[in-house]
Amino acid sequence: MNKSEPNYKEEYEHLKKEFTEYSYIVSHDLNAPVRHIREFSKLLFEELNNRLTADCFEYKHYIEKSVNLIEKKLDVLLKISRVNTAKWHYVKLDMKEVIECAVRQVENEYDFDCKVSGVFPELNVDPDSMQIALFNVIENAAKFHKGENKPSVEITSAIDEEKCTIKITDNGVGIKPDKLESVFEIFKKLDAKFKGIGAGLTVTRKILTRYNGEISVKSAFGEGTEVSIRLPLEIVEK
Amino acid sequence: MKELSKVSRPIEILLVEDNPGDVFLTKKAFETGKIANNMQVAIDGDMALKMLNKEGQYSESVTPDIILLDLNLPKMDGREVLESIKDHEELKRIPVVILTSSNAERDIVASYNLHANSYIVKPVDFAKFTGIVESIENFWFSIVVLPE
Repeated sequence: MNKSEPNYKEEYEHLKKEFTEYSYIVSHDLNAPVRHIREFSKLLFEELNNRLTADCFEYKHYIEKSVNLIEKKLDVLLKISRVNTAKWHYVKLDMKEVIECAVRQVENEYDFDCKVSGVFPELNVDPDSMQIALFNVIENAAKFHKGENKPSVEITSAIDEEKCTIKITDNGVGIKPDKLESVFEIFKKLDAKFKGIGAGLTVTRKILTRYNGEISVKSAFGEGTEVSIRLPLEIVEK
Repeated sequence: MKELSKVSRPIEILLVEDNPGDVFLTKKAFETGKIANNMQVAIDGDMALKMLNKEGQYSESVTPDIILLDLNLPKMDGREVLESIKDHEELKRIPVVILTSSNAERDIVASYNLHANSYIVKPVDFAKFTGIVESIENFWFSIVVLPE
């Protein structure tokens, strides 16, 4: 390589490492002060128990709510910073089973109809991370529904020469075209009335990237959303 | 499982923790616990090892029944403290519980392959503590057969 040319690959790797370390340190080091706010305000309110006015209970509620939110966000940041460095244990698994398992997990929280069909490959995956990646997408499909009828989710799989495509389609609220890009942004909530911190698809994309996979979203606002996941049939262990 | 009431003497705990807030919360949790205990605190790794080895001003230190160890410590890192304990002929028998900041951190801790007995996500509360020591084989047994 020409010496005067900047080495972009090296620079990129360096920045990636720096970002991972940075988000780890931030999320780890902020943990203790937040924990202390939670625990010491708990002690404070216990101590003052008999003297608390109705207003005080409201203050307490807001402290707890905020602390909860920070803790959840820090936890996600820490998990994201760990996606590339965590040790994965690869196992050959039938993707249909992995998907059905993720569906069952979502069913514990949401009432929805789900149809799974198509040709599913056997892939060499780390079960925990793949489970999380799929759970987040299926959970979104069940969660963002219009409320008037039961959410209905369809999951299909197809295989071509080198890749498999898994599509998760719902009949939910959909996403406005100008908001489609932001679904992968961390802590970006498109609709405040649904619970969650807005990190599911960020985590999923991060995990799929380590598999050399891809994720894309199509949507018709008010009608539903289709998420496509593409995974290589030959997964390189990292 | 042994009943707590049958334990014949207070259990001796060494808490290795540099954060005063966490020391306070842990002590507070154990004050309200249903079992008599004495808690000594080492605020860095160096002090922890001196206490365990009864060196110098720590010659009167009591050998603990269990060690609660934070990993991020000044002077000597928690990992080094644990290594020294596990390399020591007598000290290595003492169960060590690692204190972590979050659930997400557990896999990081596990990856160090540290031979710790278990993990507690802070804050340490009494229920978590008893849950952990019940899983440590012979823990209560060793307390019961060694009355002072």
